[in-house]
Amino acid sequence: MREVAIIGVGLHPWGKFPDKTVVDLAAEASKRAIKDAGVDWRDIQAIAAGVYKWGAESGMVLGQSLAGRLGETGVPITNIYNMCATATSVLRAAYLNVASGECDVALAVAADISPKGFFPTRGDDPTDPAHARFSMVGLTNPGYWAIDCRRRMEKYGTTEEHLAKVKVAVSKHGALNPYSRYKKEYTVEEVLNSPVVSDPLRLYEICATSDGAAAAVVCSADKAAQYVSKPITIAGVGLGSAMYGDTSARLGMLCFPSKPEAPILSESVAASRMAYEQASVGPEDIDLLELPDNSSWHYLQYLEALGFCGPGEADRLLDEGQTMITGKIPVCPSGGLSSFGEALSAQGLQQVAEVVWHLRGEAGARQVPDAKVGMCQTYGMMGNSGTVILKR
Amino acid sequence: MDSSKFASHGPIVEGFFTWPSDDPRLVAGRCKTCGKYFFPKNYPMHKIGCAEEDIEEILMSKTGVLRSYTWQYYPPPPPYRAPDPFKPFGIGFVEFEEGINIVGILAFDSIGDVEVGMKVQVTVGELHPFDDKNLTWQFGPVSK
Repeated sequence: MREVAIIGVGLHPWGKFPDKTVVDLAAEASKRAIKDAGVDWRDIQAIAAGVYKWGAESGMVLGQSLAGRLGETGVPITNIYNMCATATSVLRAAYLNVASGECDVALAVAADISPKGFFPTRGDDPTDPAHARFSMVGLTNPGYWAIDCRRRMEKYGTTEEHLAKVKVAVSKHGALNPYSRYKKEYTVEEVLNSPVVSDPLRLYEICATSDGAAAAVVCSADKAAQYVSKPITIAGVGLGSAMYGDTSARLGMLCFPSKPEAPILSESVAASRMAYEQASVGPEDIDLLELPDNSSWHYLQYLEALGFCGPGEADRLLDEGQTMITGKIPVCPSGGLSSFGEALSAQGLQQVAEVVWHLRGEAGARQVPDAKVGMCQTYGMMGNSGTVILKR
Repeated sequence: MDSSKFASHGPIVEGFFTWPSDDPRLVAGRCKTCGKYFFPKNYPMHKIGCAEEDIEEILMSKTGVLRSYTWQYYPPPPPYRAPDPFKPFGIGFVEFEEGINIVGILAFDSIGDVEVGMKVQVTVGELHPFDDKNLTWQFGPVSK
């Protein structure tokens, strides 16, 4: 396998865009990435695209719809859906296209238009636990997170104030990012005064749902210099699935092993281990981390799952300000899901774009000083997760 | 419990619990190779190396221990059918001696009525008033 670099990234802003289609969003992000890379559409030799699952067939084959818009060149197109790991899977497919030597330049793109409110289910098999969780239990995504959050509070003494402080910390970063949807800086008091959605989680401690799109142009490292002066190396791009005996309240399930035989968030642990190994780095080498802050619980739990501190120690990192841009391990300098809202299948590439900007030194007011290695981690809905490690 | 209360009613989806019954139980699957349980029985979770076809149907214990819970203050999306007006409700994460936690609606009125570590019992209750296929499993106080 040969070395692969990211030579261009592009985002469509995150928010609600009722007058746009998912193809509109994907086209905008792709055009920005292509321009950023200094390539022409005709230079793209393969396309990997995220499946848009909430819409009609044009979203299921987003890559083809995009090619229709930007020019039908006949290149191979793969459309992928992999829950929270969709965008990472898309990047991985484009990466493998180039790493294998099959082509030199490939496009990774994902876009999402979210349903309003809680994410619903799809399909009509009433015996599917992912259906019955709604029809028989009424268990929403934040409901699952709240269950794991309370377990954490019981086990490690995480307080309601810690949960609020996560939002305060991330909102400070989001306020500095021109791409973020929510730019207000919150106080602990404001967060604690927001309504409880799924006790113990409050409204401002749970990410909203958004529309958005992100794209990256990947290129073989030996050809990257033809296009850009600051190619960013894809040092690792891991995917992980759950391991038996993970006691997490895994989203979409109705039962969960009670005797631990694997780490919690095992799919994310597996994905990160794979990426760490590929990149020959560990958490101590990472200069910034975009993690999936779907809720305040995720923020704390992921710092531990990814090895940035020991079990139960994330609260202290937060208290000490170590997760701020100026801290030991800057977390979600983009403002994270908390400031963007979740555009589920596109989120992994939004994280990648953010880390690329930091590694190039182009992140403006939120720049992590002298960032050399950055990490992107997605959540693991229904037992799958993705990790990307980038180096300058 | 007294099943005659809902005598003409049926489960929202068949196969998750025994019904009609005065002693309703959750219907789980068990792998004969590794001994692991899973719920519902048609969604097996195995250890590595198990014989996949070697599954038996098992009725879960009547009681378990509440290990965590949440209280939901906003109506979940369909296919949940929320009573109107919506009433906030609890969901429990209950450990059974068979080695699994199972989630289900809490048959308690308010969040102040439950605490982590309390023993609860499997019951059956109505989720909504819209038709007769409205029963689901719940976790309620242990009957004397």
